[in-house]
Amino acid sequence: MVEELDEQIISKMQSGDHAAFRLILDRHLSQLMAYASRMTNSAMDAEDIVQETFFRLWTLRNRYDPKKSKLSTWLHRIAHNLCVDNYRLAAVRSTKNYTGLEHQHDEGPLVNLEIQLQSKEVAHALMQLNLQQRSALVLFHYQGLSHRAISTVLDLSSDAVESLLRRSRKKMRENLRM
Amino acid sequence: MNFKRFKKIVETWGSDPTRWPDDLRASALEFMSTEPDACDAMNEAKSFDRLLDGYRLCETQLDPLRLAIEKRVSVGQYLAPIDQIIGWLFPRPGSLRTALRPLGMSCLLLISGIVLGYLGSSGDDVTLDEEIALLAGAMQPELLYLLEQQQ
Repeated sequence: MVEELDEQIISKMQSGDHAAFRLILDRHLSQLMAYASRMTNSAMDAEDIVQETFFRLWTLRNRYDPKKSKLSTWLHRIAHNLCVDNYRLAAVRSTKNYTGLEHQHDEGPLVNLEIQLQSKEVAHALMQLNLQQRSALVLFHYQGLSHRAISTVLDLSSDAVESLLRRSRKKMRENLRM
Repeated sequence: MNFKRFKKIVETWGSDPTRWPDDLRASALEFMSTEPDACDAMNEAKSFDRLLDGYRLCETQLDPLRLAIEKRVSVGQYLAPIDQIIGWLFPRPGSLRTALRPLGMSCLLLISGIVLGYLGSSGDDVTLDEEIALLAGAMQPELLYLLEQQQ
């Protein structure tokens, strides 16, 4: 979990300080990139989502209230909404037989073949979950968000998050044939 | 705590006790120390979590993305007009003056509406009785007839 920034930096960013924004960018960029990458399974889509998330952070900076949620939660909420938009757009593309990025999986310098295969298998199983299940699992397991933060990001009650998380894990086990 | 409840905890929150709900953690851990079935459920959850952990992301060069974001922000540093208006109308609470701004704007709009309504009306073809009847929403046929008779 990225350490929460102190209120002073957030306040500076809200008053239009670019240096404070850069500091926030540095602290949250990789975390959001990981979230968007796992949600979309596409590096290009993830980059677009992350770029838009930070742009919205800047343009809507005065709407963020530190008393209501942590900055990382707020950023994940923006990124999640953009993932939802991306998901809908991908659905439109697929109905038009668009063979764009949705099946593209970037192959990077992974440590070894076993990890690469396992990553592919889990990524494939994750993409078979519906968007909310995927998001709940990624936010909890990979992003390390708390139960409460997930309910803020997904705009669900605490009980709904618990049940969603349980269903996600169950479905994931089925997908991985465990 | 019973086995069903314990199983539900590990199936929902995984094998890391630090991620379990605070109010259930102690009793669940105690239950696990005495129940072999609970240990089996925990081991199952551990192997599932390990499998999930195996999903590693490719190392992405974040510098180009960081630069692109910084460039986009510096170009589009001005807020969209609608956001400027919303930000001005509903400021973050800080001082009494900013807190009263939405109320002041509402009063200004109300007064403007009254003045425009007054200026826009012809004024002399509606009697006081008619205005009262209109305001009361009581323009029934009998009343209209009476008003016409009076005129």
